[in-house]
Amino acid sequence: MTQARRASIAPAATDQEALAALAGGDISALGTIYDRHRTSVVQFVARAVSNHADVEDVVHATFMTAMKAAGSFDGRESCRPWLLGIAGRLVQRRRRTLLRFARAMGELMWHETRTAVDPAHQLGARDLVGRVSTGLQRLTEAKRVVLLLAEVENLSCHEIARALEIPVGTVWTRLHHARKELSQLLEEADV
Amino acid sequence: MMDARHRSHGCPRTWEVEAARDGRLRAKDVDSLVRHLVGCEVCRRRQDQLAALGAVLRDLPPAPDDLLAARRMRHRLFAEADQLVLQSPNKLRLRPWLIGSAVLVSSAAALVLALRVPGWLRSHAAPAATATAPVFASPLQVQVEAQEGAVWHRTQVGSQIRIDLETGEIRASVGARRAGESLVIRLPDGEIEDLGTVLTVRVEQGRTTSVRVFEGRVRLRLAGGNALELAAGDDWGAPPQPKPEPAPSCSTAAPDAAPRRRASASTRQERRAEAATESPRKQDPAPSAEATTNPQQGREEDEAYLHMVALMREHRLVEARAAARDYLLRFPKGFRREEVLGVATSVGR
Repeated sequence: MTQARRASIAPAATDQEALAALAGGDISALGTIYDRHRTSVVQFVARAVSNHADVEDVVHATFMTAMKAAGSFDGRESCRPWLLGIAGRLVQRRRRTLLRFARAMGELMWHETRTAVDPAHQLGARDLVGRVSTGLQRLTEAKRVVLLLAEVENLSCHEIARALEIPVGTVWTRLHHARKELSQLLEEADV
Repeated sequence: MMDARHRSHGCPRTWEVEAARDGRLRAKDVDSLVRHLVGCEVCRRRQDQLAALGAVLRDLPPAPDDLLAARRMRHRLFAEADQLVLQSPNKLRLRPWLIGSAVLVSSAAALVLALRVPGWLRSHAAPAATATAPVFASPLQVQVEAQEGAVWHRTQVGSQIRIDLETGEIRASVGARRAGESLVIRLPDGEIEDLGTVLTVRVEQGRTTSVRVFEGRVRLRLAGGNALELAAGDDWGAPPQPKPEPAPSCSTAAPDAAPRRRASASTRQERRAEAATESPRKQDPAPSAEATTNPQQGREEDEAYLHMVALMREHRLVEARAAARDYLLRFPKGFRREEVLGVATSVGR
């Protein structure tokens, strides 16, 4: 009996199996998904949010949302695009919530160790990567999320549309404007 | 309008380069564009520009991601997942309302504090503080008293409050927390995760030398050592620094790298832990912090814990107790040690 029970909670071979197990109440599958995709999600969120203090909370919320919505996973081989889509939506939604307001109030009060402008960031802005990095942060979160999903995470526009639950035309528009703004920075850097 | 745009780009088909990249063109239009690119310098330049943009974005430096943060996030995720699974449907229905109320209350508290303590911000403008009195209160209700000469500063990172202690001694009192809130005291050689408590911590010469817990519990993680939970009444002192000596022979005991507790720190819980894990500790050392971060290791630990929980749910208490002991034997310093200890020592009595 014990052997059989242990076998039932063995690590799932694929993301699809892991999410099916998670939907069935096997929490250990959450650990499997987390261990496989945490790094990707952290890197994506770190680039997508304008406030780096939000990274840990967004990553946490991404996996919690994935746990609750495991049953709705569409069964693709990898759940990475799906997780990135959840993270992208959370990044955009977070901006609109009262939580953000509350946190902004908190940061207004307890801002003693941060400076308004990061000196390292200023120095980095002198080179190309610094310019793009700065430009990326100037984009709206909606454009930034789409651009990162397309160019860094290599998702197709249709995958992005499905992940973010927006029309593909909106993806194309946001992508075009995001590139246009960043291209101006590259041209200024003579690339 | 269109003509002006075309003139500015020099070729009326430049837009197709981006369209092809985004999958907006049909196959025959893509073929046509490929043929066009051979003879059009403007479109080739646009293509190179888009490729360069993508390359630069991919080359952006990765975000810092340390092992301690990874462990903390994993632990937090599982704690909340457990809570979610064990919650009743009624409680689940109340959650949005509760969250909304918590947000409003914290916003109001922040506003009141901002209005009532106008000089407070100025007193914390310096990058490091050397205070001697209770200094601030936050929605998390954290009070810090610093000994003279202590150098520390504080940041709010999302829902987490961080206190960086560089040197000296501080006393932190943490009030009731809402879901997701936490306090982490970062030390030169590790960190302390607060689990609702009053504690003092001392750092000397870039090294944590003592931690005393008066109320609640904390989790102490030091670089190169395992996480150590300290409860009320515990008084942790750092082991003496090993003197530079020749390499020890086989018969010489290696210096104890892991933090030790003083004799006064042995609480009832600790005695239970030692009783349950005494024999395996002698034979097989506990997994290191790095091993615990290993995904495979973490998965095995999750499985062992969940197996025990499953037995508990089926009221198979004797087997659950055996499973709890099995967990403690395999993961003497696992994340779920405390919960499992409770099962190992109480079930079946």
